[in-house]
Amino acid sequence: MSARAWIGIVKGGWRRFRRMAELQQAVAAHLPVLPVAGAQLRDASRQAEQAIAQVGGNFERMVECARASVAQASQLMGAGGVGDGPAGGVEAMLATSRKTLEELLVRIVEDGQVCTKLVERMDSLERDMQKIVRTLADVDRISFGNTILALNARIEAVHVGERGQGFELIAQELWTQARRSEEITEGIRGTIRQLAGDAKEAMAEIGSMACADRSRIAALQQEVREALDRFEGAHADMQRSLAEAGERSETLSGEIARAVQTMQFQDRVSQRIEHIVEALESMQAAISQPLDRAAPPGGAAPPSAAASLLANSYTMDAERAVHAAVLGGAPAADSLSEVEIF
Amino acid sequence: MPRTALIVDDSVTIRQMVSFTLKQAGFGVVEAVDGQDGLERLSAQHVDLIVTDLNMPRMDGIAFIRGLRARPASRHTPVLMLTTESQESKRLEGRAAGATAWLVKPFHPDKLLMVIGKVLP
Repeated sequence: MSARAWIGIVKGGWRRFRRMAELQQAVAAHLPVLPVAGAQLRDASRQAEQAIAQVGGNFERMVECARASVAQASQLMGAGGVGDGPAGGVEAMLATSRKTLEELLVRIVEDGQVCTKLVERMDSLERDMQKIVRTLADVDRISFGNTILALNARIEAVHVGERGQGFELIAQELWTQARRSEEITEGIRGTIRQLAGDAKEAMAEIGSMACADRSRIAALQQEVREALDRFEGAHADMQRSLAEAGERSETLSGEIARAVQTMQFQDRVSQRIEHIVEALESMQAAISQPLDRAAPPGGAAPPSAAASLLANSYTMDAERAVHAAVLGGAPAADSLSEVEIF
Repeated sequence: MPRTALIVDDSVTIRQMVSFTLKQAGFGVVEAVDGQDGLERLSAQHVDLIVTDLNMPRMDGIAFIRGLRARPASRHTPVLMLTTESQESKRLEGRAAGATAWLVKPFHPDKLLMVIGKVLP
């Protein structure tokens, strides 16, 4: 082999050696990017997991709130067999109100009936008084008869003279008794007239009151029943709304359950990230061993462009913190306030 | 007449959440997927408020703000930057570009509305 050929071989070998050295340097420079990339992926995965867990918790609390609201309203309304509310539920309260008002109306009607009976009794009393007045007329006639009899007796006593004096005394007494009887019957008649007049007036007043009460009670009954019907209608509407709210709550619950199921993608993503990180770690170990055996020709490799690019791409303190934790260097600066108005 | 907000973010999720929050507060909402898209939307209609991300493809939030501030119609429109970026240097850059306020993600809807209430005239 000629010297020229040997020189060619040596030059070729040198070029290959230099290329290998450059490659080794490039690999050594880029190698630190691998653990940083792995750590960043793991940290991002952990943050995503925390966020998803928090969202899941929020969803759970939203469902709990919706269900609690519907249950509370159901309890208050006494609907759906959930149980009695603080006052036995609106439904029970409504039934009690209807019963009480119906009883009250019955009592009012009964009172009206008592008034009517009273009027009837007073009417009967007035008729009885008229009978007494008629009886007093009979007494008057008897008394008048006695007066005539006394008058005739006195005339006869005058005719018989002295012998008739005793007879005259009896006639005088008969006259006096007849006068007293007339006075008494007149007094009784006056009293009865007074009583009959008072009774008539009272009867007229009670009668008109009872009549007015009957029409008022009828109107009141109608109003109370209509009000209760409206109340029941409103209650039925509220129950329907409540039932719809319950259905919407269930729909919400279903939607959230599906959202929670969808959010489980995070676990799949975490696993995939972990697989990549494991591969990166394996690559790093595989590349590091031969590199460690071969001392770098130029000493420690300078940071690669990829490492610089990665470091410059960071926007969050968390990224910078992870970078510093893996490669060392300045820790992330303290976070500024979340809000600043310029 | 409801006020209109332009939401500029490459994340569908963030656009959805900001949109939901603003609609609940009575805003009309227009969405754009990046700064370039945002400028095109602004050419088509007037908005009362802009909520933009920082890091986006094609045109980022800083360039978008510079672009809209160069237009007379949107020179004084309040711009809220909603971003994961917490570095002071970026915040200063946003302020220099013309941002009105800076809010770090993840945001609480009440906090977003509180900031909007403060920056809207």
